[in-house]
Amino acid sequence: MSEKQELVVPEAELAEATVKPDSVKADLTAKKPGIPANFRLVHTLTGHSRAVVCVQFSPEGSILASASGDSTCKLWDSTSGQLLRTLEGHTKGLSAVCWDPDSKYVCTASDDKTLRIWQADNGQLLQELSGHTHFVFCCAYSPRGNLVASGGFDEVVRVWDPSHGTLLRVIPAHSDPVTAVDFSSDGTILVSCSYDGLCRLWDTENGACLKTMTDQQNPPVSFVKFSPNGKYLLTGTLDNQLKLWDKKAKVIKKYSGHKNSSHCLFAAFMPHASQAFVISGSEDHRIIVWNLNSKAELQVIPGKDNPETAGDGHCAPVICVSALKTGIFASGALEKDCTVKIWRDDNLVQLSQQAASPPL
Amino acid sequence: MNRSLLDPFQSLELPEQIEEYLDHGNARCVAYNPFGTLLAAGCQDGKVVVWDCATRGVAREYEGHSKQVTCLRWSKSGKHIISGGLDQCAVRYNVEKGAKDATVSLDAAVVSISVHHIQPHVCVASFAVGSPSRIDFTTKSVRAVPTVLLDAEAKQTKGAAQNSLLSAIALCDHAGDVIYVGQTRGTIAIVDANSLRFLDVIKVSGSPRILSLVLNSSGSHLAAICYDRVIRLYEVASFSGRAARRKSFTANEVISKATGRHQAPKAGSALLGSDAMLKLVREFQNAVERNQWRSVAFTADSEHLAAAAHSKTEHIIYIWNRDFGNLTRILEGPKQGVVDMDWHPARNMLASVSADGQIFLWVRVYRENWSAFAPDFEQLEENQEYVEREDEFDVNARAEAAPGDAPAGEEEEEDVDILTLDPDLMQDEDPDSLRHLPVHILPHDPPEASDPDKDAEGKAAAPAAEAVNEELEPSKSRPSSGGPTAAGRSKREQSSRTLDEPEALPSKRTRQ
Repeated sequence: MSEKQELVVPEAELAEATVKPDSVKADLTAKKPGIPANFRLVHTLTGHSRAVVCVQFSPEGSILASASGDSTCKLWDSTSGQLLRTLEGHTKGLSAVCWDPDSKYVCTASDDKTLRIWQADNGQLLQELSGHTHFVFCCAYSPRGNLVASGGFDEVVRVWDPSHGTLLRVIPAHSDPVTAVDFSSDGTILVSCSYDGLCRLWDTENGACLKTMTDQQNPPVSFVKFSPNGKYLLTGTLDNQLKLWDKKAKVIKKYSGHKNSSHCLFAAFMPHASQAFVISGSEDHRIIVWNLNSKAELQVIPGKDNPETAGDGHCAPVICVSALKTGIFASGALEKDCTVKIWRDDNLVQLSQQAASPPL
Repeated sequence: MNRSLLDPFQSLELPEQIEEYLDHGNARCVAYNPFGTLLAAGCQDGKVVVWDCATRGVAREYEGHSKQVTCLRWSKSGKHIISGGLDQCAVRYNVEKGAKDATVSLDAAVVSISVHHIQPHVCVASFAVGSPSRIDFTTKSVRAVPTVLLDAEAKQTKGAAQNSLLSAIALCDHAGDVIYVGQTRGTIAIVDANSLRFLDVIKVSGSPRILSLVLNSSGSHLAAICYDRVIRLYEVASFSGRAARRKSFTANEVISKATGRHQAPKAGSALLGSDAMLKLVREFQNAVERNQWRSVAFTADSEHLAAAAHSKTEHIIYIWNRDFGNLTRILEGPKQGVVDMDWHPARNMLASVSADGQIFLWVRVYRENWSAFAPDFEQLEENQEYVEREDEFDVNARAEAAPGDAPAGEEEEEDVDILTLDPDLMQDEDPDSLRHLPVHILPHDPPEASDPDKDAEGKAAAPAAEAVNEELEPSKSRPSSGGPTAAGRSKREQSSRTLDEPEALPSKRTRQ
């Protein structure tokens, strides 16, 4: 979607969509709820024997990685839902998985205090990064692919060189378990958040603290992520809220309606060409899709109580979501469910295909 | 992106100490790529090693020379490296593909290389003996850059023969128009890059041999290391017209014009008088010890000039302020002489090569900004007396002053754009330049069978890290997370997940 061309739009409802695919125009979504979201289930991926804790699409979108408490990470084809391979080797349950920007390597973080780097196309174990003294909870690849940051229950953030497996830096980041780390889009800033209610920005070059963001009541922060352009931060806190911050530590948007008070839920941006969405799972088994700008709940995918009940949703707390900008996202849930579900909005997918290759 | 959050005054400081040393092969010369992301080092055995500056690890290794590599330079786009060696070859490497793509054999051992800024396949190589050559890699052509002798005596007739014994150092300028040639008899000749005819000849007072020439990043100043232990700083006269408009001369015309003047100046332009293309601004030297200089570099912002002293037993680098000329700092390293040095193109960081082949990275010691750790911290420069308010300890006053939650209506209703990048970040996507190398991760065998090559890389701060970790070991008795399963994701107080703790906790905890 890199061509800046005029979009030829045949249908009436697409008239609302922006003409330039590379930016989100303000007048489009200003006061309207925007394009309605209509995600439907396309695949249910079974195979994990314990809770699915993290799902991540590869940056180029064709593979979905899912990490689970059964100590394995599975790679699935995102269009057909077929299992491609299973990455086995960790001795304890996983907590996070992340991709390198070229979609070649997968990094998994586990309770066995190590991170492992795997080759995605053949499942070979390449490196084992050990050094954490407690569970490794989160990991992130830098956008250049030459650094991996990880945070854990030992309250520090470690920065590694994945190509040699060496530790580059230990940042004494927080006073409580570090729940998420993320790099900005140019790799110069690293953000980490923790149960101590703080969100800290670090300079990647020398490990210096640049800023600390904190809210009034300091609820434990369970998730943080940079926006695709690195200007905003999305944090999830254990008071059932998602907040969008700018780098001056000001809250710009708040999203609520989901339940998040005990688990570290992931949230995802879906920066679709027409409008941006925020998607998050919920501990009451639902999945909620918000419009980024208007904060309206566009769709709530209901859950169910037990696996036998009819319905598409999950029957356990939905811990993780990962979204592609084309209109597809995946969700994973905890015990009793242990599945990964792929959801698709046909309208959005069609819009993005037209933006990528406009009909002449 | 971190620039907006950094303290602007911290980044102006000069490096102070060696942060790390890189050791892989016996390095003889170093060069940063134009973006400061990669560092290339030419080694004794003819290999060129490319280091990743972010991870301080070896990114690539190229083979091309059969003997020691004496000098290397990056092209302006960062896509090519051109190196010269003792095996009398100049080799060009394609950085992305990771292999050499052209070799040109020359007549003598190469001492210095300068890459043309506009045409990356053209470079100028200087030799230990003989005049420099302009090399074009696409046509594999070698043209001699002319040198000229300005002796008043009648050595002109033997000029041609004499030239082949004397050597000169050549440097391409940033606009691609001229080549500066520092010659043996104390003159700097300015030669048009395309026609190879002389534009100006600057005489240096005392006629010392010119050992090295360096331009700053903007091309406005030229530093010359002279054999009389002085570093001379020249300002490049910004000529309004391009070099083509200036009159250019052949060598014989130069000699006749120079000797024909009534008062040939002892120093300064021999051809153009006061309209010289280079004007001497300042001289730097160590007046006390009068030591020879090995290599010189401008800092990234051209505010300072750094020079490494030529010594077998001392690793000393002097840094002067360019405008005022005063000595600002002396960097002293381990007891090994400096072989080569390069300044980082963007940050205040320096890489120097010691005689035993290690590359030292000099940085400024980072001082933590404590205000960044909490919004209400304020770092004080000196002690301040705190004066209490009248109602400081009044119970009532404090209850009223408790801040309430910001009303929900204060949230901005403006739209947020999460996709468009800042314009200054878009330069990363420039297809013409190569800023970063893709990472290839090789399988790492378990410690028994580890590859010896992998051990010889940049040392990480691992020992220091372990020490830090010991202190941070949480000694709290708070119920930590549950056991080894996916319960890693649960909040700490969740009772349903409290499994048998001892097996989940690391052994270090019990030591405390």
